Amino acid sequence: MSVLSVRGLSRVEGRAVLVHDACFEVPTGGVVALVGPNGAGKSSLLRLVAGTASSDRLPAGSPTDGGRDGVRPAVTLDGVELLGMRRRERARVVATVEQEARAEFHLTVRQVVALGRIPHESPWAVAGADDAGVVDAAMSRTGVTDLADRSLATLSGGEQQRVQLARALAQQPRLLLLDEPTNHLDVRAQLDTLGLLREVAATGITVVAALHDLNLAAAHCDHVVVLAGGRVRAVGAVDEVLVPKLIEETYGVVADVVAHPRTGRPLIAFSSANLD
Amino acid sequence: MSLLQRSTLDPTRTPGPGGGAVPARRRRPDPWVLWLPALLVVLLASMSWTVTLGAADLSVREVWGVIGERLGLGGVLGDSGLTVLREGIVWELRLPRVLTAAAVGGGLALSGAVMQALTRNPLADPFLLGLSSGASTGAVLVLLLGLSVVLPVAAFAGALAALAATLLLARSLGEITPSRTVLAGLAVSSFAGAVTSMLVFWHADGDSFREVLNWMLGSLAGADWAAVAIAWGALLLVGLPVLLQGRVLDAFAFGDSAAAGLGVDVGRTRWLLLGGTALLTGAMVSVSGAIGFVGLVLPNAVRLVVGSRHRRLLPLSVLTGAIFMVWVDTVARTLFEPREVPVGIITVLVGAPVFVLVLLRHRGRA
Repeated sequence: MSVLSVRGLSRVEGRAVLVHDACFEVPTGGVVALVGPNGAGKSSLLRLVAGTASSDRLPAGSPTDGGRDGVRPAVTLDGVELLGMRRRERARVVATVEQEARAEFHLTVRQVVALGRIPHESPWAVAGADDAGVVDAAMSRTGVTDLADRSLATLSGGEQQRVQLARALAQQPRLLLLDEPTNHLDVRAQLDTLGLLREVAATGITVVAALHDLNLAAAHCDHVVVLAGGRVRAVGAVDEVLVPKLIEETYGVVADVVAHPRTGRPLIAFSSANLD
Repeated sequence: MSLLQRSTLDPTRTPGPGGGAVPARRRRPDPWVLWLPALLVVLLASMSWTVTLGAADLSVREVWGVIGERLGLGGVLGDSGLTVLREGIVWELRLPRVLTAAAVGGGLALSGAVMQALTRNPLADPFLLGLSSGASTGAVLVLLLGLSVVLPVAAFAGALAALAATLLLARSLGEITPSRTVLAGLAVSSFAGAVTSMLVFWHADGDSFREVLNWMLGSLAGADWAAVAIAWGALLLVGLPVLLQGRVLDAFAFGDSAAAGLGVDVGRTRWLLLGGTALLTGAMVSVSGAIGFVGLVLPNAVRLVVGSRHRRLLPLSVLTGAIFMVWVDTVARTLFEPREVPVGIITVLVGAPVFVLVLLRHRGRA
């Protein structure tokens, strides 16, 4: 039962099908990379899984893979279906870190992290001592305790990313979704972020991160979901999925997969398809 | 490379070294709790004082004496010992006016604060986004054409129509940004203003011309007990439930989709709260005309002092808005005695520079 199972999620905008009947299953408690070329539908799929966007009916007559037409959209985490939950209830199970989080108004780091307590607070009551403890713990876990009273706007991209992660952890989720968490970060901050995600996963939280960089996915993730053209192309363990043939088909580049000289993890070297 | 190891993952236990000083900091009493009663006292004091100001010289004791007598409390609050005329000035003219000013100021400031949070736009204001002009148009239509609709309802309909027009226009320009919203609001409020002017030139003459001018500029000169009932009724019935939504508004800090991720029903909340602000603005405009920039100035000023958390921002905006309005209206009616300046002129005189300041603070992001 310890699987994250996604079934029958579709997203249609206008005439474009952004996500086409997405179905996959991955073990829980690890870091799952969601990869795919630009416009593959990664962000849309994350929003569907989070339940912040609702699954659409596919246009009539569009072919569905394997005749799964009419599968009821469902996201099941360890046997519990999430999409049928009430919003607040779901926000205590699933937390999302979005790609670009910008506030128009001045907020301190602590105030931002405390936003994660909203789904746990009763709408009328003032935040309790428990909440302050969870907020402190979340800040400490992501290493932003020293920034607690700083204004969010004064922080670097990597620091802001960690604040958003702390906010998501303050929701005490069991499923953490991240949209391109390494975007616009330097190499050091990218590695720090993935390291943090590994540690989060080690506590039993299932982490799903949309990633641009296949090598980051290969080095730090347990499982990979490959998305292209809105469809799930492949699902599985990193070394089974990120093989030259699939990368070439999905990205249109020539790929060579070698072992990382230090870690032994897959390392992918790319070259243009028309090189030879 | 472990940022986590020094802390425990059990959230109930005390976090690592970085968190040691935290509980001590929290024990310090939060000063904002004291702001509320303090500002309430300032508001009451301002109201009793400003009632005494004006051509007929009165004392605070006389004012409270009149209030005591009218409320049937006998001499509990002091004996006024005033003539019927002077008592009339207190009870029929100044008291309703000061009370209306307080409610209008509080209501407009609250509307501004809520609109700023929901549109994530520090420049949002019922006046700038065209609500006030739309409400004026609705009200003037009723006044001049003699339609059999209650004034506040017409003003509400006007405000709602203007808000919808502004947001639709802003959206059709592409991604909704603060400056696009303000530009759309400018278009809508100019249009509504022109319609109002047109109506005035066709139908008004003499006295009603002057009255309609007061409507467009914003004035509390006509405030009577009916105005008090409308303004306070709206503030209590609409404003109070909105005040309780502070935490929900916090969830919008990073946008709609982040709010949804925190369990907020974004669509429902947005329309309920924007509808509430339209109702509030409509009610206030129906008693005072289009008074500008109150919803912009006060929430932005309060935010500078107490930050952006709406559980503090909303009630403090209401109180400071009320105090601000009571004083500005007193200036409006006493500065050039016996002539009176429409209060809206003064709020715009104060508000336009603040608008520029906010614009400068957020430059590059609009």
